[in-house]
Amino acid sequence: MRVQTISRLLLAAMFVLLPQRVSAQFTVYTDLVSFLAATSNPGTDNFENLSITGTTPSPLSRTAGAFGYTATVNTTSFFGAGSTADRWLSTNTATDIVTFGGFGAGVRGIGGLFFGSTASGTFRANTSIMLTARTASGQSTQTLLNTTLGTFLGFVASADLLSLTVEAMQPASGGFAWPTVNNLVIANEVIPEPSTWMLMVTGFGMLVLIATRNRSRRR
Amino acid sequence: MSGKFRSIVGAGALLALASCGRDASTTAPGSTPSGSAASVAVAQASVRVNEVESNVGTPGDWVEFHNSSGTSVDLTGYVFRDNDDTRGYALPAGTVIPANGFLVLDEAQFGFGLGAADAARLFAPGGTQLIDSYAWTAHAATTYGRCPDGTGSFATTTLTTKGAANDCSVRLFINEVESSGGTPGDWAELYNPTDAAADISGYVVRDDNDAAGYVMPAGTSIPARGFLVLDEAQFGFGLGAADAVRLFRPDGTTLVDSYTWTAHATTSYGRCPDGVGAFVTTAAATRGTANSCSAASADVKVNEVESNGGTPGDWVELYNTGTTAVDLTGYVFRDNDDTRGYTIPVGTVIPARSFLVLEEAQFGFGLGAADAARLFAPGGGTLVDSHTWTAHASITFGRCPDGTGTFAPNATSTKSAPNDCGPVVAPPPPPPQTPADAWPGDGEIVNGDAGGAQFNGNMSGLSYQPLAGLPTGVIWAVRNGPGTLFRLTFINGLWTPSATRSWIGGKPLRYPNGTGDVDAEGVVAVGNAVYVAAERNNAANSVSRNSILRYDITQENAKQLVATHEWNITADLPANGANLGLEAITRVPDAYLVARGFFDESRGRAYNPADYPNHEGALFFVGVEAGGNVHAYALDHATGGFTRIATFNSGFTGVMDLAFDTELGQLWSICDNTCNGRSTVLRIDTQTGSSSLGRFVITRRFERPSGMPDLNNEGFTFAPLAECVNGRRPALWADDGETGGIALRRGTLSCSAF
Repeated sequence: MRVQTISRLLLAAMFVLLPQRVSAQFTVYTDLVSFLAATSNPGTDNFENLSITGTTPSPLSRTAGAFGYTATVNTTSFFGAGSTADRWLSTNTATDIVTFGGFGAGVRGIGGLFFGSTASGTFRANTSIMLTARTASGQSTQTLLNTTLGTFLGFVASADLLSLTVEAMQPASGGFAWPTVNNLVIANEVIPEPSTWMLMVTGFGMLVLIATRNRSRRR
Repeated sequence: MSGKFRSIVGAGALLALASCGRDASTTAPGSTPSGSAASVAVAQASVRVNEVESNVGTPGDWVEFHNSSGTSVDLTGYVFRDNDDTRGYALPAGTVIPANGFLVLDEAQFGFGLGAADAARLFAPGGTQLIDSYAWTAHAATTYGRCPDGTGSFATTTLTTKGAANDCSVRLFINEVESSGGTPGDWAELYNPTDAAADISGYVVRDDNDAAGYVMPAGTSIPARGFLVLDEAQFGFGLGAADAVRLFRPDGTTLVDSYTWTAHATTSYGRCPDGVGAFVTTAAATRGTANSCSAASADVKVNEVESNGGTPGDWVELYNTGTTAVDLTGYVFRDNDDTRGYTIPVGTVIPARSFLVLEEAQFGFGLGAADAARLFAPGGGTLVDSHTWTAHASITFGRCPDGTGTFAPNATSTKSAPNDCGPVVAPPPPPPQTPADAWPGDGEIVNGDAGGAQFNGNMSGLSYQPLAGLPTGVIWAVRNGPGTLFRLTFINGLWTPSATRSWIGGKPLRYPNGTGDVDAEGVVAVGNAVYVAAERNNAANSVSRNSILRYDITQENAKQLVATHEWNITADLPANGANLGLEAITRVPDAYLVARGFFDESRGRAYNPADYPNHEGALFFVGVEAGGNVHAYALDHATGGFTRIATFNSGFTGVMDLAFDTELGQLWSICDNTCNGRSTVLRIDTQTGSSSLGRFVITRRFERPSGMPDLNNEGFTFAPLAECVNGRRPALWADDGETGGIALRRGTLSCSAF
């Protein structure tokens, strides 16, 4: 009977854990501090070496701290928006979708400042940006409304990230909006501290103990 | 599969982060000034925007400032802007402009380009107090600069003088050259485009020989906007068949202007228009007077005349009966007095089948009761059209019908509108035509662009290019004058040229040597290149130059596109007018041609791609306006050679665009309003025993969509089958006349083969 009880507990635990293995979970953060607290080894690409006097061909191979990654658009090129003091990554064509990928193993967090820019590469107010993060088993899509230069969004996934796409929602009036990214952050998932592991093991032991005592009382 | 979301914040409560490391040097209006009041005062008095390069400078755009004071000025924190208030460049600490000196800021420093319609503005530290500015509406051929430095007004400079004193000498032009059989001998004509007489004492004229030269005698001058002819007897040497005329400053080394030719002109070589235009073979030599720039268009007619009490005065209405716009630059309007006339200004264009009114206030003289309205070709010597009367009309005189009828008193005044010809007379019935099928798509047509005549007319060929990962591709469009390639993106239901930053406004098209104005009529996109069909160089528009040109479209940052290849097939085609040549181009892959047994007329057997090296896996089919024939060419991309593989008729007397449907294996041929907007579909005949086996034959004829007006549509393209919805896919037409301000119209096309 003791073996049966333990088996039931394990079965119940599997039901809880199974969805996470089949379909990755995403946690979405809207401030950088919380995002950094939920990740480790963050690296930032502030795009300060991008040309802002014209276009740069796609794809780009770049780094954010220790992480290498690629950035691509659907057509041919990126556009250096912003100013000489603060450069942003944007597209040459307003309808292009920026795809960040090629992160390598272990990358589970990605975030940044997302907003719209104008034809001349300056900030465009009231732009909505759609972001989609993907893993091998799922995706999460978020839309940022009326973005500002400081609008942050970060995804933390329970599995390795494959890509993040950034797309501008074209406004009905007031000129087009080009999807624009600044200060892209890439990170690993936070590894639980030893004390956290101890707490989990203790909790599991307590469950076993309670089950054993219940079985003894029924006898 | 969608994942399980666990958002840690409430929806709509997105927090904004404070921007880190914001642009400290991009000072927005209203920010705190950081310069001292004293330095601002000095700068205001002495520092000026002095010279501006807005178009392909070295290494990019630049702006030059001049300090006209006797002391240096510290420009630390001053802000330079173009016409965009949201960005700017703060000059770094320690930036000093020396006394009576110059300071240049390059595009790489200030971080943004200067546009064709833009401004250069200098603000005091803080960016709110404007020190000086200059705004312009088009790029200068050289630069814009003050003359004299710092204090004068801006004008187009004679020479670019980056970082140095502006060249304020008078800009003179060699304007016309007679090198063979002039009277009394060869001659060269100089032109002074300014409003003041120009003293050219000591200037030197040479041909292509540096050893000889003619020095202008003291006291020689050219009147304001006037001409000076130098005869062979004066300068002492003849001009050859391959020669040059060069004008130097009195130092004998600084070249002012030159023109070089390789053969005698049948008339003369002259700039069109005078001074500013490129050299062309003139319609007639016009020694000492304005150049005769082209054979007069017979399409332009005097159409209506108000000689008595019009509003605001007398006026004359001209009408263009043709199907293309006519540039009236230099045409001369006169009444019955030969001693006076009105020269129509540069850039005056009368669109196809449109009206242009000349007002008394423009031409400067009234029309009498017994008088005439006469239109002359540029130069004033060749009469184009006229009307003479002996008494005022009770209303106006006008032609009925417009342009072609005889003059008669009009029932009402119809200035800038069709004449009122009294009771409507039914037009003669159209000639019988073989009935065509209804358009294989929806009848409904909607505007395909935002309107407002944003392309300035002349839109011609179209080519759809799908984009991986996007639901809609791009459309490449060419304008035939000025020759321009546009990249159009589909946004909010409209095809727009302004959604790709580096393509806003399109890119001018040049020939492989970087010059010319390509009369681009047809286009087809192939990977990273487009191929353009052109019938002439607009800079020499009386000469046929039927060419296929290849352009690399990955040159995103280029301000103009220079052809990588040109295949000039003029000599391979039947002679036609310069405006009746290539109109259309499409690409047909070898795989289709081989599979259907395409017949190679040049070799008398089935087409074998191996016979034609370097032809990039396809043949290019071009359509000719005169006669409506289609010619298939193998283009050698290594040697520049070509071979005509086949010729067949499109089914029309004039073909305006071609589009090969690679997915359904059918060739579309489009005609404009000369054929009521009809189209044909052609396929390779594969019927054994057929006399046309292996040749393209017409399999279907279609009317234009029921909702499509009968327009001068010169372009047609359609989306791939991947965009089909309910058996229909998007289709797009380009109207050369940009009727109603709309150049592009959208409809649909069947997704089934015919």
